[in-house]
Amino acid sequence: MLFRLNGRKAIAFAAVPIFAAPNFADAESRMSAETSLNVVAGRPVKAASVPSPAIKSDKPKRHRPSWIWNLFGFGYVQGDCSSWLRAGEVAPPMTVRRYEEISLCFKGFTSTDKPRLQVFGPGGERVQRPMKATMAVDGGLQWFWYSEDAGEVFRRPGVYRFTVTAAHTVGTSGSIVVKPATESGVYFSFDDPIRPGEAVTGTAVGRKPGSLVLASLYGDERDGKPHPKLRLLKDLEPVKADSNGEGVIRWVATKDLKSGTYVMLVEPFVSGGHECDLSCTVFEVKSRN
Amino acid sequence: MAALDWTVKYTAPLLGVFGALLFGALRLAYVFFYLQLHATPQEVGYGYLEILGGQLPGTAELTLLLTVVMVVACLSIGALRHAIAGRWRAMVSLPGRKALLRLTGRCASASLAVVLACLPMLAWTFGTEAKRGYAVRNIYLKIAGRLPVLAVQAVPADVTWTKPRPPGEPDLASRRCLLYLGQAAGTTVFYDVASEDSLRIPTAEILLTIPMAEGVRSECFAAT
Repeated sequence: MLFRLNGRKAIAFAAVPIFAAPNFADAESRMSAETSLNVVAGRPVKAASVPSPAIKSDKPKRHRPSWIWNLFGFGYVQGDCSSWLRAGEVAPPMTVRRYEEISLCFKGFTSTDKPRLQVFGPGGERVQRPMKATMAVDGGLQWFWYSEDAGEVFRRPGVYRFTVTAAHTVGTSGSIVVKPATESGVYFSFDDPIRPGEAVTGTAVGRKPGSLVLASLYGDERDGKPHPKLRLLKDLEPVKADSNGEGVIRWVATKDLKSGTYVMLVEPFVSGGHECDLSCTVFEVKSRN
Repeated sequence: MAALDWTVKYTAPLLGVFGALLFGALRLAYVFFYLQLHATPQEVGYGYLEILGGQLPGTAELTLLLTVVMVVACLSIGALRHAIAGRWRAMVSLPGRKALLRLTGRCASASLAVVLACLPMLAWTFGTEAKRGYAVRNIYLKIAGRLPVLAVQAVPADVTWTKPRPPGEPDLASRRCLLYLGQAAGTTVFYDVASEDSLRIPTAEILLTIPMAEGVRSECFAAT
């Protein structure tokens, strides 16, 4: 089960000070982070590439977001159905990037149809068990994967075939072409809380093939007491980004680890200015001790 | 019977006139928002019913909230004045029913005027944000339980032709900085943040994907 970051922003907020540095605060870094941040109902899921402290950018500085966003918020488009596929027709191929949200919207099924969708991977293997649809806002039916869920189902670039079968209406089939991510991002996956032997996985996408993906683990205690600033526990083993520009950092909780709050950071550090969740994740470890 | 006659004779036309005036004031906000994106409210699907239906509840709630705030503020100021003058009994007593109704009516009128005057200004500001590439959709006030403020939309979108590209139509694959504004009468309207122009494409010939993003791609910001 994927971990949702809802309700954890307070902890993430506390984790910021240790990472914050003047070099990160320039307008361009912040903008590139914020503008490519995908949020699912308050759940940040994607990070953008931001120059590390050592790298100077020669791009022109951008403006910061207006003050007005401190007072006002906006409703995200949560899987709106802007275009519809018809039951019984062959759907045109749909192209998405890794970890992009995917929405399939259908019209033409009847209320007694109980349509089910299945997805088959590039090798023909089934990657999505028969899945019920949800009612779309404008009527019709919808299958929707949030970006993290899409990343789990559509695990590698390739052509995925989907079929929709229904009780009383002719089914529909089509294909989803998944391409490597073009924007840098990090997606974390784990069960919360973490227990010894369980893993936290961070998938970095949109990297240069062959480049190193660096990650570190931080703890929230100092001298045995909770501390507002996190301290570095260890640098994790770097991995090389594959030909699709992806690298998976995997850390397994050891038995000797103390219970508490931990943070995994996948470099480069990206901050939206008030959260560390663009490139790091906060999780609880419950040890048996 | 006489009351019914009076209602039919006066109330219905008055409501019509009030609705038209309200529509005019609210539409101004939509015009200010879409003006910056080179579109009109009608082109993106906001007609009389859509604007009144989408905007009226939020406007009413905002007006109500502001009215309450203003009434409380007025009562507090009155109490303060009594306290300064040493009229302690008057300080803790509410004004009479008639005075309270009069005060509420005045505050409600002032609140409505403030809300209707502020909405176009806010719409202009959000239009500027959209023009810069930020997603703007169903704006709400962060305080006071997310009160809806402005039911406009300009959201990042990926668009592809479902058929071979008709001659003379734009190459949508190369347009990577599009904001989806809406659709009406078989035409979908987009705003290109990079080139700062608006596109009108036949709805039936495109496949539209709306990612859940805060803005267009980062390279689009670099282009602006």
